[in-house]
Amino acid sequence: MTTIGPDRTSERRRALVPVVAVVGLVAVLAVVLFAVTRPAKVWDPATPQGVVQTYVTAVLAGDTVAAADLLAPGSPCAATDLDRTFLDRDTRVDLVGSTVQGTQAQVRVRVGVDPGADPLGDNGEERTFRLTRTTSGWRIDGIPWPLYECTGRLT
Amino acid sequence: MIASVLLLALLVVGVVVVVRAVAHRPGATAARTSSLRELFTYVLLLVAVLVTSTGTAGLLGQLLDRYATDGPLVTGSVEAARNGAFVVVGLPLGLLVGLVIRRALRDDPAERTSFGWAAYVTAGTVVPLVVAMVAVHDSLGWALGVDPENPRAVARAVVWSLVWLVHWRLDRALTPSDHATPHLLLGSALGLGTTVVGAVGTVGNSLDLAFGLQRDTFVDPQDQLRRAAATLLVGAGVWTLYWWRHASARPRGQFTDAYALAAGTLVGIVAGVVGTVWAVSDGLVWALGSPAAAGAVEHFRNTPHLLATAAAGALLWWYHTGLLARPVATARPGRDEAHRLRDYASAALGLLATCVGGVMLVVALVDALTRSVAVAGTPAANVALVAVSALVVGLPVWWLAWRTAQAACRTAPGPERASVTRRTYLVAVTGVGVLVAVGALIGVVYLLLEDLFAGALTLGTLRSLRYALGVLVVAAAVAGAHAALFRAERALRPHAVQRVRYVVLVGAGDPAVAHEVAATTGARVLSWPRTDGAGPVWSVADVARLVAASPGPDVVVVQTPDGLLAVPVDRQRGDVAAVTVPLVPPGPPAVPAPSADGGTVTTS
Repeated sequence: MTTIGPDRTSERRRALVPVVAVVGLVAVLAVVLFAVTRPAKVWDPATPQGVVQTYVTAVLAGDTVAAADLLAPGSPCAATDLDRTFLDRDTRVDLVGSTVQGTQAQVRVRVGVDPGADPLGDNGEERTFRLTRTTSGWRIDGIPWPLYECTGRLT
Repeated sequence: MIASVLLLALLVVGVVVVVRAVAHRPGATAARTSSLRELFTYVLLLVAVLVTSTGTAGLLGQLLDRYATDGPLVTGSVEAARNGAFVVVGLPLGLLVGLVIRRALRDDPAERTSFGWAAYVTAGTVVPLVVAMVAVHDSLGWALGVDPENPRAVARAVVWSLVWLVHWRLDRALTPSDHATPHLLLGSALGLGTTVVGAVGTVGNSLDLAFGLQRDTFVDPQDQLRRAAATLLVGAGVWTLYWWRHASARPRGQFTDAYALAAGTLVGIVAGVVGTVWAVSDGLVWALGSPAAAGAVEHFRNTPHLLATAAAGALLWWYHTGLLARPVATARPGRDEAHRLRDYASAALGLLATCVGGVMLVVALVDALTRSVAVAGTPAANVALVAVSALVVGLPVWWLAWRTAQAACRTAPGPERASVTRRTYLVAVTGVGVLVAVGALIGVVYLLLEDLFAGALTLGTLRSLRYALGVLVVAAAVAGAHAALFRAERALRPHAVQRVRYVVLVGAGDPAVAHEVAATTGARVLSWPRTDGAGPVWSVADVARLVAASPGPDVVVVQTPDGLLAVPVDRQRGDVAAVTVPLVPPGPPAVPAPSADGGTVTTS
């Protein structure tokens, strides 16, 4: 087959490269943004991780009464203690690990704020939740994050 | 956030200052004065690159965090929104500005030597290098089991290493060799610093483990060792690439000399002296003094690290001082200003250690004399032993450097005594000594008067002013000795040489001539080379003789068919704002007929 005039196929192909690249980049970005904004995995509320997840979610949402409901019966803390805490909007809480020994459990999390104070990367701080199995399920014992001291008074 | 922006701004400003210094140094003929527009284009590209990289690394970190580990317990939208915004805005902006700059680099070869490009490519490699080094170190900490899992560090390491690699390759391919020196030296310094910290930690912690010592009560020595090994690995990689593979092959110059002096003379001697003095004093106090610690394990818990620091300092000094022994391409072989800086800086540092030892010795002496009124405190013997350590280490450092300088003074007294470095050293040591002595004197008098007015002038008064007394004695002795030396050398310098302040060599091709004339005459010398390549080689001896014979205060030396001619001028009186010389048509140079409309010089 013979063609008359200059062959413009390769030029057209070359012109398509930036268009394909831009479309590809936009697609990749969209997929990544979709993947990172999906809701977090919901842990079973009957497990220690699930209780900590519900507690942390409630604390960050400002629902201190719901959070205080997850504290163990003998806990020195109450909803009024949680009312006094201040948390950054960008606070993220990652699960690091958990161990269960009989009626006691430990859930380790890493609390960080992104971007942190360190421009070269702030990996946050590890915090440990200590849980006790009660008749109504796992409950958080001691003085849990984000609290440092508790008065336990409801008024 | 504000801290990170400030740090970034500081880094960029630092890089800009360094590169500006390169672009404006004499001899950089190809350096162009880049316009403000160009500069802003490069700043815009840099911002776009940094913002896009931060966003991409953040998104990749979030992805890894979510799908490679146990993941988040709660999710917010802030982080994804910020990272997304960075990429959505930064990436198109970077591509657009990058295309504009790519076209400029392709069409105009001079663009590659411009200030804007040098600043951009230096910042574009050094900033990602720093972020990548920290991120790789954190990732290694996770891999070695020292630090908790850190997927975000892995993401930062991957993305910023790629950004560094792209800029490194661009720099290698496009930037002319002499313009790439600041970037290579900055990278070398970063690599070297990290390597030294890592090496000291690795050796120190290994010795800790071998001898059963524990420096930090709450940290496992094994973890410390692994962390130090990670630091060493990162630093050694960067240093090998930047220095060993590239920068070390550079000929000696202003920047390489400054690097060698900073790393070898300054850091090397400080690390070596501090480490040795501390370790020796630990040993002496244990053997002869009264150690505060109960056992050797506690007393010597810092010693492995101190010995490692001392060894690192010695190595730094040995390697980098050796670099100054290489010949300079543009100057004649022999002692130059970098060698003088090396010797006088070493002498100053040795002198400082010696002075500290001297002060402590006086303190220990007064302490021993007034022991009867002491209630508690460090025993005088311990103070004396620390003083002995400082003297034992400081004196040889000072003496070796000073002996080299004095030997140069004997072999070539003219250039050495006239050199800016020697004169600055003598004046600075004298001046600082005087200032410190005055401060100490005020302290001594104040303490004396205080007790005198209170009617409590006792042996305790002498004891309370032991530090001020020590500083006063040592500072006065040092200032006095150096002032006497400076006065003696000033008297030796010929009067005629001092008369000329400024010399301009018109048409002297070899820059070494200017350096030697400056060293011989003590004047500031400006050399303008001929652009037509013609002209014979100038004799330094002839120029120096002419300058010495000139009445001054400034001299212009030009080449005439009969030889060199020195014209005495006065630079300070050349304050003519404008000189207008109308063109006269070339005619027979017979009789210079005065006319009203030609050949006038008007000044305003």
